[in-house]
Amino acid sequence: MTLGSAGSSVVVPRNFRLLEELEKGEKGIGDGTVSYGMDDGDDIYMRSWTGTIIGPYNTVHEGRIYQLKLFCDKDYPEKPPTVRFHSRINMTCVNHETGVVESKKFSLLANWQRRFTMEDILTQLKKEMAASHNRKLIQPPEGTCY
Amino acid sequence: MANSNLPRRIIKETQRLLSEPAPGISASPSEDNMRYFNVMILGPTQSPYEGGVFKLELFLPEEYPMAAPKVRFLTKIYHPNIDKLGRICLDILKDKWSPALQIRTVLLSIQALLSAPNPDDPLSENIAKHWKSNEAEAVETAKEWTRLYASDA
Amino acid sequence: MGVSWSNNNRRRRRSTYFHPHPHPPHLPPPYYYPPPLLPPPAPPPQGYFITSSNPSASTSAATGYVGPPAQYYPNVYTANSVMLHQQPLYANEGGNDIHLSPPPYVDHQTTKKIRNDVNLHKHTLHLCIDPNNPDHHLISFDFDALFDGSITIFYLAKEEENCRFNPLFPDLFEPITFPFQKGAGQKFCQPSGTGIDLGFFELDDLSRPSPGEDVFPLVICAETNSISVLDASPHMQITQAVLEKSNGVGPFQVKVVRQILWIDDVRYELRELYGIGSSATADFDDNGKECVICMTEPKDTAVLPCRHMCMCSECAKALRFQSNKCPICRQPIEELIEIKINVGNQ
Repeated sequence: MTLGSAGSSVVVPRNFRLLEELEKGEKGIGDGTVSYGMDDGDDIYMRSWTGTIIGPYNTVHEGRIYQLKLFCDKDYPEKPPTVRFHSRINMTCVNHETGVVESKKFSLLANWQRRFTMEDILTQLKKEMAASHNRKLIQPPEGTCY
Repeated sequence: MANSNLPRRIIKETQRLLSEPAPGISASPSEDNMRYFNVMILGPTQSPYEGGVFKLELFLPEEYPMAAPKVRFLTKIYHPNIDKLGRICLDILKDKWSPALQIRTVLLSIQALLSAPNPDDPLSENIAKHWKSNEAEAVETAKEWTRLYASDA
Repeated sequence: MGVSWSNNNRRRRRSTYFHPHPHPPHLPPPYYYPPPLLPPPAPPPQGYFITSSNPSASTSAATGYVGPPAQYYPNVYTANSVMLHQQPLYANEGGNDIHLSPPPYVDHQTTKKIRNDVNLHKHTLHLCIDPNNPDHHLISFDFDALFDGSITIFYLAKEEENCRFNPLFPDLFEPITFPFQKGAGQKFCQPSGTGIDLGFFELDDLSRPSPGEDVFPLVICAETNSISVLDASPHMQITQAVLEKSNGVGPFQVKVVRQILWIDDVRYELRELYGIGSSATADFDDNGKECVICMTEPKDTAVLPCRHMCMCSECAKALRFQSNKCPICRQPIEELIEIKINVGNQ
């Protein structure tokens, strides 16, 4: 099931879309290797989120837990959130200085569609970690942050 | 276009909401999404929310009226059945929804919920505890929050 | 000390009510089909709708009145039309519901109209004190009749086979019969001196029917003489009521619980449809003639057993994929009946 009623003419407004994502995130997603939650329970506009990715098996990331910050601005989900790794990581699409996921190098953000969700971003990043160009890259020490 | 194929029921409800608004309630659709309403509810008299103007947002999902509208408060409010994000614990928005209910009846029910907080079925545990342990003090807090956040001066 | 019958353990008689159903889904034969539509002579006193009943719904007879309406629908409940619901073949027996099968999805049934020769307006039924005899009560009501006939008043009468009624206590009140002549909008006032002394009865016994709904405190049987060649058996309309006092004091209030039609040896129960009345009005208010779901098409479908006439047939079909609850009262839907309202023909 995709959130946001893809393919229909009904447009779920930003806040209700984020509430749906919040509720889905609270219930837990799939095998639990990606998860997310809201940073500030008092922020009625639900802008700041923290995502977590558990490094996939058979990669240099295996066993590592990566934290990310996602920021959904007023124009979400028309525009993608800004996504930034909090935990240091060496990946082709992540800026080495800031941890920002560069949309030019990450196709999900480059080709953003309204129906995409934060879960899609995290799941896709996890797949990206396991991609051949990323899975064997030398990583910063575990537990370091930007 | 997002608003093509808008069911006639939604058009009729909207027209009636605009032409015969319920007392203390206004609801108008957003320009770019006719299923998305900006709502104002005046705090009912003799409730801790009296004098407050509460902003809400309401959305009619694709399944409406077979599914309930989605509603939440945008104005902060101290109420045992409303959480920090403005989400509302009200049976008719959940399992007691019926397609015979309408936007108007939903908003009237929310207005009624302001007059009759139900701490036995809470959404905000802390506020509900406060309500049950010291109702007078909780009511004072609700009044204070109304002054702080809902006085649309 | 008054007499009481309520401790008597009377079992509901298993009578041979047959079940006219155009497409009988479950029942074994034999079927009995209702007589064909009578040719429309003079306009009937009132339009009735007849439905066949759901064979697996054992509740129609036993359910009785629906509880108070939910608070959100202040205006939906104006009922001024009536639906006929035939006694289900398998109703309560000894208090146990017998279901032939689990309640199935029952699609729309369509209704047919039958003619009623005599009609007692149930909202006009009153009980008043005999001015010449303050211990005694008299009956009054309005009625319409297409033919001459008679009215019989029973107290605490038990329904027997073939729509016959027997008083439990004939010593206290012998059933009394009054003839009438045909005509619409007549008023019946029971003559002074023919009333009943209700002081002999327990209030509890007067205020409710027997558990099986076969004994009612007040039964009024209106019967037309069979002058027509077509139908040799009498046509009857039976009105069954309870007598209540608010908080046990004050005057008796008559509350009609049920009306029965006995036509050509078929027994029909009259049940009100809630919401059909507003179908005929042209105003466009929230609870008007439109389906409560699409708010566009006219209402033409009623929900059973709660009898809320509230939807158009399309929305009713769509609803069944979403929900099993009546939109008005949230009672489970056992059956949907589509009622064709012939506006120009009433």
